[in-house]
Order: sequence, then structure tokens, then C-alpha cells
Amino acid sequence: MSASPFKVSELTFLIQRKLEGEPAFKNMRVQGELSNMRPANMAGHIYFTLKDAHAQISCAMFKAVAQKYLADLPKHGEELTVVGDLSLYPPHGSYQLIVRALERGGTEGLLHRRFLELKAKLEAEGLFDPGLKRRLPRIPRRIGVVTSPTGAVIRDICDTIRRRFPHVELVLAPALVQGATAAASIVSGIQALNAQGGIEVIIVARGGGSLEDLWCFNEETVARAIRASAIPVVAGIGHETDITIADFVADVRAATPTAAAELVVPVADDIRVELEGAAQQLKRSLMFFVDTRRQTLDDFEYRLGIRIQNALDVRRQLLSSMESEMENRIWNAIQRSHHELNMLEAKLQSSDMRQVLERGYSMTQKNGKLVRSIAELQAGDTIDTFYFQGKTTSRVETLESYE
Amino acid sequence: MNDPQPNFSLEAKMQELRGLLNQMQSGSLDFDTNIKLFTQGTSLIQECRAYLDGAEMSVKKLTGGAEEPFSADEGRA
Repeated sequence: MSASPFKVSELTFLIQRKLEGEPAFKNMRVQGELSNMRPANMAGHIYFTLKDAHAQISCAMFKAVAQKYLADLPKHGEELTVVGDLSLYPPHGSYQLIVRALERGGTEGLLHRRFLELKAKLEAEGLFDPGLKRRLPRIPRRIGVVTSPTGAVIRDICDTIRRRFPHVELVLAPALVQGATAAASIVSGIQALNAQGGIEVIIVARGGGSLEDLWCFNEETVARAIRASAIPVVAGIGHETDITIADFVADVRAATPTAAAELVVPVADDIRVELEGAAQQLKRSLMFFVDTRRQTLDDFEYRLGIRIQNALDVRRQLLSSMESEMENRIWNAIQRSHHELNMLEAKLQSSDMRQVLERGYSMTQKNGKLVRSIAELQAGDTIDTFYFQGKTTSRVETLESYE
Repeated sequence: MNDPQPNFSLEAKMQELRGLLNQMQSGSLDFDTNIKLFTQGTSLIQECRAYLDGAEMSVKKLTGGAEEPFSADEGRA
């Protein structure tokens, strides 16, 4: 005698109780490849299949859970882990996983892939071409900032710029920097600053966060808005290790928002030092100019002096030679006069003598010398006696002196 | 804007100053030009210094195309 048969529903409910009562099948994690995902049905539920090389399992994601993933649904073939409970659906006689959450191989992995895809695409288009990078103005007057109007980032940027170079105007285009509408808000901020006029450089900034937090800076629209900006853009997003598409496409990438602020302005004191240097240089240039001219003048003066000296020397020599010649001549003249005078004197003397002799006197000489006294003579001396118109030579015979 | 010279470009003035110094250092100028450049340079330096001493940073917030005063310190604890 065999036992009475199970009704289909009896068996099904029995299996259901076993299946759903088993603790190992509750809140478990199942890893597999996603396939056959259907769009949300009228009720908002989503159905898909998770499979690997040898088996597959149906998955149901009810509306409350599905809503969390609508913005970024996993794609066919994506490796993911489903968190959920095993359940049996009696009307179909099938079991399925009721999904509580998705762990996407994980989300980071997927985002990273999308990041790489967009990067490759934009790179191929030439958006990162180094030739497109514009130089930042050295000393901007108006600086645009696209970031959140609240929080540390805008404060840090203001503080940094005020500390370095407080001679500028900051224009903040307030933007959302996280969430689904962030990208559009950043794009319109960049565009608004471009339309504002007079802005010379734009900082696009955000503080640090996870890849998901920073995701808006990996959106294609943001990248294209940065590239389309007529004003050079500096990206200061996240921390040093965070790299976004915006960093690649920006004219300059700064490691952090503060670093971006440092990049866009010089340090006022450096400018002051440069001005001081320029002032010194100006003075030196002028002094050098004046000095070289003065030297040239001195040189002229010196050469002129030498020439005058030479001319003077020549004249002085001439003068002194003239002087000595003159002396010579005068001396000669004096000598001549002397001589003449002597001759005249002699002549005069002799003419006196003639008159005396003519009157009958005579004059006696011994050895050419006039004899004035008898004492000058001795017996036997030869004497010359001069008369008017003649002379005699005689020997002294006797001497007789008168007292 | 509380900047007394809204169109003053420090960058342009510094550039002018540098050009002028180069010219003076070429050494091929006559006396009058030298004096003229020196005078120009000196007044450029004065202008730049005055600018650095004068201009204060201002922060504006764009609201629908209009610029309104903004303080990043708002909400700072």
C-alpha cells in the first residue's frame, strides 16, 4: 500500500519551507556574471540572471532595492556579487534570489573602467594634447572659482590667495560638486565665468573623497566644458593621489585646491623684490651710462692736456734757446765794445803824448816801460827816447840824481 | 570694486619695466633717451608699488550673472 500522493502545492510548500528555512540561504552573497537583465516592469521590479560557466540562478530585485541602482545599472556581462535570500515562487515552481543589495566587482571597478574608457576616448580625440594647454597669466586680476560655496575648499582658496597676493578679485561660481546634478552645475559654472568678462583664469576645485564622490569630474560634459573654456582652467580636485578626467583636460593640474590657488597667483613679496631689483638696476644703468661718459670726457681732457703741455714745452724750449742766444749776442756786443773802448783809449793816450812831445818834451822807456824816475835806471841800461816825429836809442853813461 | 585702478595691469607694467631695463642695458642709447627711460622706469616702479600697497582682495559670488559680495567665512565655526 502506498501512501497517498502529495498534491503539487503540498510538495511545493514543503520545499519552500525547507529552502527558505535554511539559514545558509539567508542573506548570502552570490557571485556571478550578470545576464538577461530586463527593464523594470510596471511595478518597478527588475529581473535578471546570475550565471557562471556551469549554472545559473534567477534574481529578482524589488522596487525598493532597484531604485537605488537605477542611475547606474550593471551591464550585461558584468561580474558582480548579489546579496540576498533564496526564495521559492510557487506559481512558477522556481526558486530565485531576492536581491537586497548589489556589490559590483565592485562599484569602484566599474567606475574605474568607465574612467579608463572615457579617458581613452577623449585622449584619442586629442583633448589632452599638450599643445592645447594654455599658459596661466602670471599676475591675474580676476580669478574665477567653480566650487561649492560652503565648506573648507573655498575658504582655503580665499585664504591662500589672500596670503600670497591679495590684489585680485575672486569670482565664485557656486556649484554642486557631488551627486547626479553636479556635472551640469560645474559645466554651467565654467560657462558663466566665461560669460562674465575680465576673468583671466578659472580654478575648478573640490575637496577629497571616494572615486564615487569625485565622479562628476570624470563626466564627459565637464571635460568638454573645461576644454571649451576660453579662459585657462586649473583643476584642483581631491588629494594628490586623486586623478580625474578634469585633471587631464585642464590647462594645469594642481594636486589640491590649495595648490591650485598657489598656482594662479604669485607671491606679492616676490614682486616687491623684483621691483626693488628693477629700481637698483635702473640706477645702475644710468650711473654706468654717466660714468662711461665721464670717463670719455676725462680721457678727452687728459689728451687735450697732453697736447697743450707739448705745445707749451716746445714754446718754452724755443724761448730758452732764444734767451741763451740773446745772452750770447749781448755778451759778444759787450766784449766788442770793451775792445773798441780799449783801442780808443790807447789811441787817445797816444794822441795826448804827441801833443806833449810836439811842445818839446821827450819820453823815455826802458824795455818798453815808461821811465818816470832816475831811480829806475842804472848805468849801462839801454833806453829808448821818444821825440816829436822820432826816437833814439842810447846807453846810460852816468847817473845824477837831484834832490 | 574698491580697487582704485580697475584697469591697472601689474603684469603689463612689469613687462614694460623689464623691456625698458633691457633697452637701457643695451648701452647704445643717447643721453636724453637714457634719462627718459630712467624716469619712465622709476614712475613704473612707483605705480607698481602703489598698486601692491593699495589693492585689497575682494570675493564675489555669481548669482544669475550678477556679482554679489561673498564671504567664504560665512558659516565658519
